[in-house]
Amino acid sequence: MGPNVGNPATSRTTPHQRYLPPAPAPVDDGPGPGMIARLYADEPKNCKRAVVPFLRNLLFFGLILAVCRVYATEGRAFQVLLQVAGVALPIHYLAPYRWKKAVFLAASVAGLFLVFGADAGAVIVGLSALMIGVTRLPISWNLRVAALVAIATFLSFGRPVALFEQASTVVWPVLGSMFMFRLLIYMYELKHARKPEPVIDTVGYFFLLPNFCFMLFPVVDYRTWQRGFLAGDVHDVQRRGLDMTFRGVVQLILYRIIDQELLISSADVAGPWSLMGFLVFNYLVYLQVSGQFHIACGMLHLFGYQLPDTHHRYLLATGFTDYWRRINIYWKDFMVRLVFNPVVFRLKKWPQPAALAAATAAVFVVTWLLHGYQSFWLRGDWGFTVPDAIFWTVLGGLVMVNVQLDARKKPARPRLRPRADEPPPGVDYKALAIRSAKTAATFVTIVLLWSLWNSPTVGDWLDLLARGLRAS
Amino acid sequence: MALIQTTSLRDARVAMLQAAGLLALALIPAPAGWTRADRIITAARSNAAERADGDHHATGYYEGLVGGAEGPSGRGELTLKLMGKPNGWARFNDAGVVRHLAGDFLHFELIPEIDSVLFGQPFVTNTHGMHGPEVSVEKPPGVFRIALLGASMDMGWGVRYQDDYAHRLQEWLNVHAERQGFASTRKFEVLNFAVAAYSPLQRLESFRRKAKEFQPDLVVFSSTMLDTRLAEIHMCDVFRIQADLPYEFVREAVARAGITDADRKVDARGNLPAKEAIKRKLDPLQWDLYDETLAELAGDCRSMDLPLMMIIIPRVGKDSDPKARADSVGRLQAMAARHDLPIYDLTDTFDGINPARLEIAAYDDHPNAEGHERLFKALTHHLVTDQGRYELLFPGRKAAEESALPEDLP
Repeated sequence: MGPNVGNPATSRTTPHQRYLPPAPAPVDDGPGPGMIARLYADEPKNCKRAVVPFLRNLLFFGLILAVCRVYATEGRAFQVLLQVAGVALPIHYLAPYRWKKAVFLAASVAGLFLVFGADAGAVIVGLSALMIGVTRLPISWNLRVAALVAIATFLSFGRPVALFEQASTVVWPVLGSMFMFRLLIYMYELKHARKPEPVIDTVGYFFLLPNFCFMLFPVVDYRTWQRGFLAGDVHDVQRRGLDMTFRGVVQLILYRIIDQELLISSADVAGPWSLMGFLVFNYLVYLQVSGQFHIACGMLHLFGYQLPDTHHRYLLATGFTDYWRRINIYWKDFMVRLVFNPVVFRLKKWPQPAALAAATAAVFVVTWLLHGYQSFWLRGDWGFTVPDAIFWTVLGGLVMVNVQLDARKKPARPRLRPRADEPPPGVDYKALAIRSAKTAATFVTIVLLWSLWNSPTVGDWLDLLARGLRAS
Repeated sequence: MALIQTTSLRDARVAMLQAAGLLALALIPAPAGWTRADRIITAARSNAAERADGDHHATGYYEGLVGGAEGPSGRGELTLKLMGKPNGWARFNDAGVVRHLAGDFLHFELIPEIDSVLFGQPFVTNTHGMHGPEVSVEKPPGVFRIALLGASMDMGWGVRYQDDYAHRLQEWLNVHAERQGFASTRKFEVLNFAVAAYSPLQRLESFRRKAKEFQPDLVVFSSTMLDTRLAEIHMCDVFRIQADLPYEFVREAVARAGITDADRKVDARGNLPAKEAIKRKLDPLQWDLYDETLAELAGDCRSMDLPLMMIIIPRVGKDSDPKARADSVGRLQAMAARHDLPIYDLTDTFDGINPARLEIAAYDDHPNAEGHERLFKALTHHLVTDQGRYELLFPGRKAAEESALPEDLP
């Protein structure tokens, strides 16, 4: 955790900042370029079109579409949005650079209406316009935040009002999914921004096409999303997105097999083997989340938004800090930006270990509270339980210890490139064994903690372990 | 840690090949006998865990959130929007085929003389609100009436009544009666009093209010693996609509469960805020309540000298696989034994058959017409080999041995 979050975008200067509209053609200089030519003039290099790479990507997309159809991946909403993406993809690709973000926004709004219907769609658009409008009011940042808090409170607790009875019940979780975290990030960015954010970026950030089939949505960072737009060659970005999407689809297929064929009920645990099976597969159902996150971000790549990986081989984490960095990377980044770094900065006069400990504790307390807040918007209840509190406390404690240990380590010396005449290094079995042991220990601890998190009470969890550890 | 790794052309080609491989795995049928492989592919292609009508385990924090799954008020419209519904699909309560009975313990019933479409199939009720052909209240001479008490699968959820197992049984019994020489003296009518989502208590109530009036000669009580869940839903609804509890044993069970007046309090919107607490309190008593319901029904039937029997009907899919159903089947059989009731366990009817062949849709594990045909065959098989029931249906005739089943047995 901390400073090594990396810069996910490859370029700090965004193409749209580099891009300048073509100067108007001189009047006396003969016939200027036609309207179409003017639309496509001076586009960034990254959106240059090429038939073969695009057709290759289209074929890849077609294969993914076919797999999703044949395996009935997810449900109706996902299938609808996949089709919307299929239609919008070539339009977006062929559209002039200046229109691309608008095409993406149009596809997203169309997806919203197709999935949730005209009634719910209209209410969602109306309330979104209100929220986004408030973020752009010409008043102080504090006042805007106060107004947004007032609106969110009213929407949360004002539902009994007869007016709100008229709105479909789908409106609230969808609005929650769109705004509950992204609005926090956006307002944070506005606080530090030196100039107003473009309207198209603002609206597009809240109306992300795949969000309308995945209510549990990765916490996409505004600036990363904005800077990632055509940050690489469009075909490369699309290909990366297709690869991410496919990996997500495979994870969802694996999730189904685990959920339907391998996961047993906690009540069926009797003996070490069944306990082991339960613990492992109960944890691996997380593949559903990781699969959905891969697909969500993969779909954004199709429209030019290059984003970081959402997960990175989290099953192979070698420690708790490593685990925290690898699983749900967007959440980790969100916490680092909004909680960890500000706390460390405020405590910069403290000794470093104390400041790190306080910041880590703050991250886990906020994470715990925000998981309840997320549950409130998506399910309608806060879902705070004793196992939930213990889970976050223990995980936070373990990460805290790891952070302290990491901070004491001397920076690793960069490896020198071996000389050409030097024999290749052999396999370092000792290092491999240590790494394997660390990975195994982390995995075992996490699956145990995960089973605690999913238990209704601590007593149920202890009972589960007792049944499992009893010789069958 | 590299957070953005470009996908090379080679990697993309490998992924495309993998996608093609996945397609082939799904589309090329597994060789006969590869049941495990077939089962895994079926699981991979089935969105059973995510489907809209499901009552699946949401085991963890994330599973509870993904897809707007179960909240305190059950699976909602959001899940249906996300997961989808078939053409002509409607939530049963929204389909316009039931009417709600304010403050009534029965809670709801099928509307008589409905001619509608439910799950893409014609849904027709007779003048008495049964999903079946017209019948008179007065029993015609020579007619042997079988009253079927049950829930959605018995009602024929997602199939025409002509295709459900109850109607097929009636047709076959009449054909078989002719072969057995009863053509002029005995006709059979299977009266289907089953209504989707009816709990055991509602089946009992339906028997008292409706079925008795039709003078049945045999009562068939159909049980499913979901009955305790239906009982839980029904009791919460009873509290929500503030209906009186007409049975002493139910009142006692509620008292034993420790459900207080405060628990039963309804809010301004007509919701039951303590629903989850009520469910938790009732949970340990559900099977006792079921047992007492059966005892009450058996007592009623005995007092009328009316034979009563039980059948256990499976759902399609994993929820009804042998391991999952063993406990419920065992309890139902024990209850039947306690009340001296014959019981036919039909739960193995769908074993070993790809669920996709038998369910009405990928998101709904009610049996389709083929599933009902298999249920009908299984039930008939039990009937013709059970001397007690067979002789009741066809007096003076002997039940068949397993080795010599009647020729007209389908």
